[in-house]
Amino acid sequence: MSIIYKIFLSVLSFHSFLIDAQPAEKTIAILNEIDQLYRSNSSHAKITMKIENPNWQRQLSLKIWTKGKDRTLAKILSPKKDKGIASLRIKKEMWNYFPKIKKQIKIPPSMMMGAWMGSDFSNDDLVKQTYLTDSYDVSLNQSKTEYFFTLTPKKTAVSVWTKILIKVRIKDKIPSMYEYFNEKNEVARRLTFSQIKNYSGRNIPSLLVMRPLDKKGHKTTIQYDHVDFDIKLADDFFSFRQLKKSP
Amino acid sequence: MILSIAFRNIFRQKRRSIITVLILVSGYLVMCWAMSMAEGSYNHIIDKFTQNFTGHIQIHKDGYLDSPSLYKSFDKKKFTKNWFDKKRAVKSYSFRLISSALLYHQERSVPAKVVGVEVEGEIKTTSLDKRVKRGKYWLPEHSSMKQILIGDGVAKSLKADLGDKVVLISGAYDGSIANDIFTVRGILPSDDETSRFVIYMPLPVAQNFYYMEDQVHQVSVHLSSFHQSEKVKRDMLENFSDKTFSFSTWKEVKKEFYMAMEADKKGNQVTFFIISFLVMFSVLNSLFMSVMERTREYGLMRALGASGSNIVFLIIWENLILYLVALFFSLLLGTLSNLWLVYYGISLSVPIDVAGMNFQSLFGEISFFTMGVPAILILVSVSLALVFPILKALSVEPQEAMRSY
Repeated sequence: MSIIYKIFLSVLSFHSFLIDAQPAEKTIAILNEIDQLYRSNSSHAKITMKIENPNWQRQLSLKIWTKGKDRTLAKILSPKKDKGIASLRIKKEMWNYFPKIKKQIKIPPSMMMGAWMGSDFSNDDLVKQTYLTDSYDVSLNQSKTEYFFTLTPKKTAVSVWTKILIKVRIKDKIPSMYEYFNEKNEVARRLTFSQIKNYSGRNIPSLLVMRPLDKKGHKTTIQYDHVDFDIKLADDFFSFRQLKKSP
Repeated sequence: MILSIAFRNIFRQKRRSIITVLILVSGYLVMCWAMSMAEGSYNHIIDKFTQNFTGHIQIHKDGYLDSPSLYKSFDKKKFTKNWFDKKRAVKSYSFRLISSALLYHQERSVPAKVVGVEVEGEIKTTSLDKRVKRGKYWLPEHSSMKQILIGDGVAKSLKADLGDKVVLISGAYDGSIANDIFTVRGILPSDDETSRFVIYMPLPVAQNFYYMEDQVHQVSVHLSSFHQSEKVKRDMLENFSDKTFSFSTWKEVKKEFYMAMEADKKGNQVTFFIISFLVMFSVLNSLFMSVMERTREYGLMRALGASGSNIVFLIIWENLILYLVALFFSLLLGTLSNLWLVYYGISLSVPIDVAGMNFQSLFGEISFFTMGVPAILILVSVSLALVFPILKALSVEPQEAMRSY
């Protein structure tokens, strides 16, 4: 056996270590853990959302409550013009409340890909992100320091993304980047995570930046100001009464 | 002398002269009606189309037409009344704000185009008030009322009727969420595709909803005639110093519509050619026969001492007189019938669809093309019909001609 052949084999075996697919159960377990990163069993967070585009910039202050995978309530605290606008998600249904007109409006399925409150996050992001393993087939590869999840839509699932690539640090299972691919297999938007901080004993990236790559100058930044995990929240907290209550 | 013989010949054979005049008149009328109805209907379609929404000229911020955006707006004070008044062809103009919104009514929702219009200006520019099928257009004092006119498609999708409250949600100019409740004041018909999923609201209400102050997206300009569009556009371009604005005629605003019309017109030209050819051939044939059947007469005249040129002039005079008589009746009947077509048209049992608009009637037009061109074509036919008889008359041998019948 020539030396070159031996080197080739050793390189090949090292490479196969890098791209070795993980067992499905482990893959799903890791991904679900990441899905739960910002939610735990329940959570209450105060965040600042900064939306930038070539025409305007705005900064929203929000409170978000979550319970399990199915319930989310988000309320805008400021600016004054938007104060009290709120979103409620229960399972896969979503409602917005507008205090100016005192109306709650159910988001129709056709609008789930629409922007949430003018940001670069969609309504769908709020609903479907926690169901990644329900809607996508997952394969996992890893290097020494990172997991690389490749998510492709299940045949039965409806998705605008042909692929989602997720990079996660192995040591603490904290995500560093999500990339969403369009039908041309180009990255359409990129979500990056940074500034890891400890809240209620959990390490989470406190800064999320979403950049739609097909829209020049567009960016949405979410800064976690404070998060409480595993707080007591009754199921009926996520109700229309709470949706309409002034923050 | 030749002229008096020509008159005598015409009156001598009254029946033949009347038949010849009738052939010329009917040939003229067939061509005239065909051209009149085609041109009239095209003009009617363009008039209705431009009157329904586009106007004859539209003014936008540069690039708006290719890629419309809420942010490609301008202050309406940029265009003063004085500036428009200087252009004599401008009949009226109207400022518009154009965006989109999600409409909700009970459990239903539908996306729609939102157009903010000047309550009084829009009536003069596009007759929006006449298109309200049910309900009523706004009165001038309603400019600040949150009442909307909705397309029939929107009304059906939302199951909304007059007086119903509809919620509108959209992204505002400053990035905030525009949301408000509006009352349905009127419903626009579904026979117009451009209006099905459109809602209209008074301009100040739309500016308030989108937080746009005095900003607008479009000025729609109505001229005395759509034929003046190109000329007035050039004039506007020369007289407006801010080059970040674009001036577009209805042809540029609705390219597909214009190109479809042009393609249809080309197809019609083939039809015109065939109709004209058949008419000209029939006129030519009839005249040719009526002249040729008189070969014996021409032979006799030659035998009595008439020269070839005398006979040629006789043929020309006779036919010219018949043509002029026919032309008089043609223009008289053509004008009267065309006036009827222009004002009343011909009702169609099944309406035709052009660019999403239904047309119930075919209309006529009075112009040089519809009245003058058929007269010229008939004259050409008459002239062509005379060529061979003239050649024959010049070379005819009296003996031989007198033997023929």
